[in-house]
Amino acid sequence: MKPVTFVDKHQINSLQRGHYTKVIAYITSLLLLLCFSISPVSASPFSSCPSKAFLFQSKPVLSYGVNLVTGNYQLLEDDSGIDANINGLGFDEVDRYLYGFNTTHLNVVRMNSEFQVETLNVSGLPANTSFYVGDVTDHKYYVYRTGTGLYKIDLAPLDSDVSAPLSAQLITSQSTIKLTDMAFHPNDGKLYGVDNKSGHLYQIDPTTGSTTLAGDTGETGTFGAMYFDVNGYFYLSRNQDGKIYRINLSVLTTSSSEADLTSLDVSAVHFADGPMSGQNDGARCASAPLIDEDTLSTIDFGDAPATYKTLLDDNGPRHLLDGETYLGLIPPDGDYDGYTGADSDDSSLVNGESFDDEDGVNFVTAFEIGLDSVVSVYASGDGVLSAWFDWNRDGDFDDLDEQAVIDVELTAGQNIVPLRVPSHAIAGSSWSRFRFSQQSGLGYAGGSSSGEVEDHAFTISESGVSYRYYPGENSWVTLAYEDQWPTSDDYDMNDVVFLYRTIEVIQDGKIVRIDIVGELQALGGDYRNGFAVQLEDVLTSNINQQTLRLLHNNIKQQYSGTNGATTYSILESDNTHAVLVVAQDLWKEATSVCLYYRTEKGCQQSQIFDFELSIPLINPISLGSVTAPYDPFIFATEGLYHGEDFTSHPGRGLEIHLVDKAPTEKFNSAFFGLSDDTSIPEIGRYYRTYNNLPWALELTDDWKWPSERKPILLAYPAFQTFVESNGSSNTLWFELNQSIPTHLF
Amino acid sequence: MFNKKMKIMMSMLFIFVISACGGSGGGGEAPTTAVTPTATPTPIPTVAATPAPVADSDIAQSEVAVAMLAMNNLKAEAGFKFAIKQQVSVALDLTELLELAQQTGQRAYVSVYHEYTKLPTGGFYPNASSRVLSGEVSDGQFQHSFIRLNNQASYLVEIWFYNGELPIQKELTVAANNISW
Repeated sequence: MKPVTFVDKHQINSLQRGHYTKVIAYITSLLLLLCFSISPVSASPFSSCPSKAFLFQSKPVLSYGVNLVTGNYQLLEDDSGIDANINGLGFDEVDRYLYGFNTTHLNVVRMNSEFQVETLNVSGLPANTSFYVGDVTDHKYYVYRTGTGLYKIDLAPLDSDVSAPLSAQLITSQSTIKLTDMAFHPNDGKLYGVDNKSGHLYQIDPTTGSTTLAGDTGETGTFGAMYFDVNGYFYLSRNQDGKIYRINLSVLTTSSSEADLTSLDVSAVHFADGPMSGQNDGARCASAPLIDEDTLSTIDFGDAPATYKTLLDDNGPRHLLDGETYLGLIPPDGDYDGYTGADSDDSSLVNGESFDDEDGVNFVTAFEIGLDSVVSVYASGDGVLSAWFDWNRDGDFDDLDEQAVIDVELTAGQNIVPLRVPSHAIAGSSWSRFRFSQQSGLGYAGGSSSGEVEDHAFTISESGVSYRYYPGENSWVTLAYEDQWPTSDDYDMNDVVFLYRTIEVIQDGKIVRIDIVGELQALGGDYRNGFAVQLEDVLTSNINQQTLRLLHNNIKQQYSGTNGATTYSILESDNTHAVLVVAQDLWKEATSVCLYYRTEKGCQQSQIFDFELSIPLINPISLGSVTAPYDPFIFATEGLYHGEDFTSHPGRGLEIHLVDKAPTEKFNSAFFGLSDDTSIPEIGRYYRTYNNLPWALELTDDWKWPSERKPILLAYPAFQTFVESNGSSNTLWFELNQSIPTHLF
Repeated sequence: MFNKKMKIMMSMLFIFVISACGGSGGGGEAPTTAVTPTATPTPIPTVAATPAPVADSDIAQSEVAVAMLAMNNLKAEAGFKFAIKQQVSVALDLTELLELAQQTGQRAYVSVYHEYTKLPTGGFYPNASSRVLSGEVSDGQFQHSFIRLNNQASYLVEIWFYNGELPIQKELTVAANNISW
């Protein structure tokens, strides 16, 4: 079912009520023709379990929708049809109505999806008594009042008759905790509430009314609205300042013991900033996830590694897109969560589209230890900027001086933000986070009701260092391999596809370190292949093995692969020239939802493997001695079948390189000339067919590869002219606007 | 080729497993040796649980056949590398420029970008991801090299100072594989 869109509806109500009424009348009459049993729109329950939380205030009651992720809120309805305050509300997941207590006329009511109130016929509650605390579970409404007790009302009779008599049953009169709201945990079935005065979190057993002190939340105040999400996170909204706090109760289930509860850390973590109020009550469908992935996302998340608190689970930073407050020239796209590892916010497909929206921050000078630096920040308009730098490179923004920019006001256009790199900073690659918003006082985590978060990698350097990037600091070339060599096959160029870039760190005019970064894009074949890079003119003995580093998805690797007890080193031994192996078997790094990984139509999934190789050199080498992209190649995984051209499993002896790149010393030269290969090592001819075609291509862009078994000529017809003209025509044949999109993955 | 044969075999196995799971026919006879579970490769459960890839129509198949034929007839020249790139030397003599800007002796930092936008307010906005070179100006000089792709004609050079002033920018054209200022 399509979730209800409260905000849109309200906007239509207020702006175009007349037109809307006509449309509704028309749609209703159409639906009536189709379905005789349909209820009138005005009395209908909610059509789904909404991800939004509801907040109710004032007399007559005002109904708000609150996005707990960002704290953003919107008035949904100001006319409930009754001049009364409604409190103690809860969402009933069985019939999808809201139930609450009319504190003006002292009776139990329910609200439909239009937030219109119906009074219910309930007996058994104490006379002349208001209830401000309530929630619903399992089609039963519970109300609580300090000093009065806990009551339960079975709502099932309403299924057949809205005016059916209901009776309230007293569960316990023992009720000393000072609550202003309570909520049912969706997974353990217990009620939870925070005592306003002490800040203590209590669990209440709904069958007996007995209470258990879970611990101290560390926050006090009037928590007028409390909610759960489907994962068991508990949210408190404080009336006085609108702050929304989150307590992690996600481990609790029906089988949890009292000890499980009391051993939890129940500290309330500041999560977002919502509306403040003199009087609040909250209700939410507890089975709903916090962000509904069936609707378009309007929230921007960051993309630093997970240790920087990037994911929603870790209260990672996020901003509601307001269309006005952002960094760079392009407004950000919506995300459903933060990205860590290969799946960066620059490229992730959300809402059916994606683009590089991390375009507002540029590190235009070096970050040298102990010296000043300048950052260029482009703002869409007025707003407030804060930024954090992980100076000591320990994977967080918690340390001394790591908030380097605090609530600096920006104006539209380019802003120059100076900062000082502390003397305790440690040289090397690190991460930074920039948050731009209409709100000040943001931390590096938590929600914001406007703006954008941009996470950027940066390098803390010693003085006198320069950098040479290929093809650009954060841009890519694509490497695409056919793995059937020495036989030419379907030329879909998707058996192994990598995004790839290199960074050369230069000091005193010589290269001191080479970094290579890549993201696996596709695996379109059954053969098992590894991936490696040969540095043709760098001696193996010139690589500093002590500081050589390989990361898979930001995690440091000891080996390039293992097979049982066998381990494979990252820097291969017995080669004169350095060969660095990224992975021995790429299929061990990727799992597919289909037969292949991201090559079949209808088999979309996000990237799941990236790598970073950092190769320090013992003796610096001249700028001219290496040429990016060097010699990246695939090779056959040891001990596995790799085609009928080989009488036994070829293993490491089978390599497939870019055209005219010589294989390594571990290549089995007996394979030259097999099947369609016409390599002639004596003249430097390698990996070409009789027609001089290659088995591997380097595309100088972030390239979209053909789908399974679609020859490259079908997907990119201009490739023909490019080849036949010897590269003088159609040089940009690989760009998306040159493709036939139906033949791309 | 085995790779593609393997794909077909997997599809056939998939169909076979489906019909076996359906429990059709057989008349109560014991399964033949061909159906023994040990003959089933391990990936089968994954295959059975996967989304169905979109099948190609007959028209698409004939398009593939035509493209394969064209691919077989396609000929490249013997030395063609299939990517257009050249090494470009960068030689920036900024002595006079720094003098004019009264920045002589100040720390200065150069960046070279391959993607940038001309702003309506004047000046250029570089795409930070597209930086090909960056480094300090030393005695008014900046000398380097990088790889130019696809015959790109011009690049944006920016010089930033550390005192909070706006940068000096210039779009420079590649001439005979050199960029100079």
